[in-house]
Amino acid sequence: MQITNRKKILNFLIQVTIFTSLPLFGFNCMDMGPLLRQPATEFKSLADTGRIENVIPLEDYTAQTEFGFQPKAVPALMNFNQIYHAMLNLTGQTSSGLDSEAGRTYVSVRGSLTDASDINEVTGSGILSTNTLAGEVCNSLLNKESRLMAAQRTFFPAIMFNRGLETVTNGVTTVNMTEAVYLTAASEMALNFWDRSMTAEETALFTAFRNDYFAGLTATERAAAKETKGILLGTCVVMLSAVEDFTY
Amino acid sequence: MSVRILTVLLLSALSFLLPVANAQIATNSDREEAKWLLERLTGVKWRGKDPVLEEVTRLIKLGQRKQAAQLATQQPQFLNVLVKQFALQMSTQDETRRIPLNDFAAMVMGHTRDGGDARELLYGNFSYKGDPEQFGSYRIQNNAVDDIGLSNDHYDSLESSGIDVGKVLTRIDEQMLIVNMNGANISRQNPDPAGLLTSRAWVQAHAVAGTNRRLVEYTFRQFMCVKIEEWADPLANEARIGRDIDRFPGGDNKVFQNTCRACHTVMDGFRGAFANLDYNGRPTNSTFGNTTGADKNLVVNKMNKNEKVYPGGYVTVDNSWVNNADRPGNSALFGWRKPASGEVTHGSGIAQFGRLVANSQRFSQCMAQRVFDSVCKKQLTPTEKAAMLVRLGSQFEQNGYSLRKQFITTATDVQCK
Repeated sequence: MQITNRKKILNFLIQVTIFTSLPLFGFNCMDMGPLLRQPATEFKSLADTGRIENVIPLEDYTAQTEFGFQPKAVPALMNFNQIYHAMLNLTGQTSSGLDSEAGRTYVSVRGSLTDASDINEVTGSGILSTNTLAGEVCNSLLNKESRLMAAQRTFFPAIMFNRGLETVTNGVTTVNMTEAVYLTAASEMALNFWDRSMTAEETALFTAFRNDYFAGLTATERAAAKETKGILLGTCVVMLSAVEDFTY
Repeated sequence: MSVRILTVLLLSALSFLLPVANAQIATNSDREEAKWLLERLTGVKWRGKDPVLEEVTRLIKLGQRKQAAQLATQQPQFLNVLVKQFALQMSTQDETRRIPLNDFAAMVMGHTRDGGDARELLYGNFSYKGDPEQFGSYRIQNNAVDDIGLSNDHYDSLESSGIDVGKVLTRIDEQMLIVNMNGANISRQNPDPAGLLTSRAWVQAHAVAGTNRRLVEYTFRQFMCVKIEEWADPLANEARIGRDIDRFPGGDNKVFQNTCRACHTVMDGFRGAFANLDYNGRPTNSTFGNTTGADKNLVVNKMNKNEKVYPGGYVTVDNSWVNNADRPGNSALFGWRKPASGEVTHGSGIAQFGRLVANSQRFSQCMAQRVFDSVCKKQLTPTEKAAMLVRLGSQFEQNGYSLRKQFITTATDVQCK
C-alpha cells in the first residue's frame, strides 16, 4: 500500500516536471512563442485565458511574424553539456569527473538531451533525461550536505539528516520536517536555482507535495532517516529540472 | 478530485513559465544583465547566491560592463564549457559537439586563455596538452606516443577526470608526429606544422582516405564560414584539376563544365598544400620517406589516384598550391590580404595555406560570427548580420585577433542581447 502511494507521489512529481515543460515546448506541434513573449502579468489564471493558446490572439502573433518582427531576449536552450555543468554549478558542486555517479548518468543520458539552442528542439525523452540527471546531481548534493555540520551547509542548514520526518518518543510524535522547515529548504533551493523567491502558487504546490509525501508513508517509515533525504531529493529534482534551469 | 489535480498542475505549469516571461521584461535591471552576461560567457547557470554573480552585478551597477565580462571569462566554465564547445564543433566532419575533448579543442582553449593571436591557430608550430605537474591526484593518461600521438586518450582522460582542463593545459612549442621506424614508434617534429590544420583530430576527420580535397573544403567551411557552393567558380582556371575527375561524365563534357568544374577549380588549386599529408591511424607526413603510400616525389598516392579517368589532368608532384579563388567575386568574398610571409596567388605547404586563410578578411568575420553565435544565440536579419560581421570582424582585428577579447566585445555589444 505504501509502495503504491509513494509511486503515486513520484508519478506526480514527474508529471509536474513534464507538464510544466511541455507547454513551453509546444507539445511538438503548438507554437508557444506568443505565450513566452507575454509579460508575466498577463498570466493570472486559466480562467482569464480560457485556453493557453488564446493568451495572445493568433492573428496578432501572425501579423508580428509576417512583418519580420523579432521579439528580443527569447530564452535560448542549453545543450546537453551545458545542462550538466549548469546543474553542477547551481548546486555548488565542481565536476568530480565522468566516473562519478552524476558523471556516469550524464554519459548515459546525454544522447537524449538536445544539442540545439532553439527552445522548440526539446523532446519528451530530453525532459525525462533532464529529470534523471537532476536526480543524480541532487543525490550528490544531499550526500555532500548531509556530511557537513549544519553551519557549514549551503542549502539545508536546518535539516536533521540523521532523523526521520517524525520522531516518536514515549508515544509522543514530534514532527521534524515541519511545513516551515520544509518550505525554508525549498525556498533556499529556489533562491539558489532560480535566483528568486517561490511564488504563492509554487509554495502551495510544494506544501501539497509535502503533505502527500507524509500521507503516503506509515508511521514507521516517517520515522526513518532516509525519508528526510527522500522528500528533499524529490523536491530538488523538480526544482532543478524546471525550465529556467536550462534556458538562458 | 481529478479536476483539482489538473488545476494544480496547470497552475504550476504557468507559475514555472512566469520567470521566463519575466526575464524578457526585466532586462533593464542590473541583476538581470549581470546574470545574462555571466551565463552567456560561461555557458552555464549560476546560483542566485554565488559570490561571482554578486561581483558581476556590482560591476554592472558601476557601469563597468567590460570588467564584468572579463570577470566572467576568468571563470573555469568559460574555457571548459563555452570555448570547448565552440572549438569541438569545428573539429569534425559532422560538426557535432557530442565528442570527447581532442587536441584541436585543447589548442583553441589554451590559445584563447593565453590571449594568443588566433591567426596562429592556422599556421603555428605549437600544441596544447595537460601539464603533469598540475595533475595532482588525478590519473591522466599522458604517454606522448600512445596517448597523444596514436590516440585521443590523453585528452579524453583529461576531460573525463573532472580536472579543470582550461587551467592545466600547457603550450608546447612544437607539433609532433609519430613515425614508425623499423617497427618502433618514435616521436618526430612535424616538418610542416600548421596549428589546427595539422592537429590529430582535424587530420583524422578530413584526411582519412579520400583525395585530400575535404581538407580544403572544410578549412574554408570552418575558418571562413563559406560553404563550397558559395565559392565555386566555373570560370576559374582548371589547370590544377586532377586526373581523377571525369571531364566527360556520361560522355558529355557539358556536365563537367556545368556541375563539376566550378568546385574543382578552386578546391584542386589549393589541394596541393596537403600533398604530403595522410592519416593511417595517425597523421603522417610522406616527406619522412618511410610512408609506403607515397610516390617517388613523396606525394601521397591518393593525390594522383584514378589516373586513367582523365589522363590529361593535373599530376601533383609537390606541395605547391595556387589560389584560383582570386577572380573578382571570390576576391570580394574572401578579402585576401598578403600575409607577412607568402603570397596571395600561390604558395607551398599547409602552413602557407593557413597563413593565406588566416590573414583574409573573411577569417576575421567568420570568427566574429562564430563567437556571436556561441554567445548571443539569436538570429539576425541578413542586413543586420552583414553589418555585424563587418563591425565585429574589424573589432577582432583591432583586438589583436584575441578570441578572449572577442568574446568580451561580443557579449557587451548592443546587438548581442
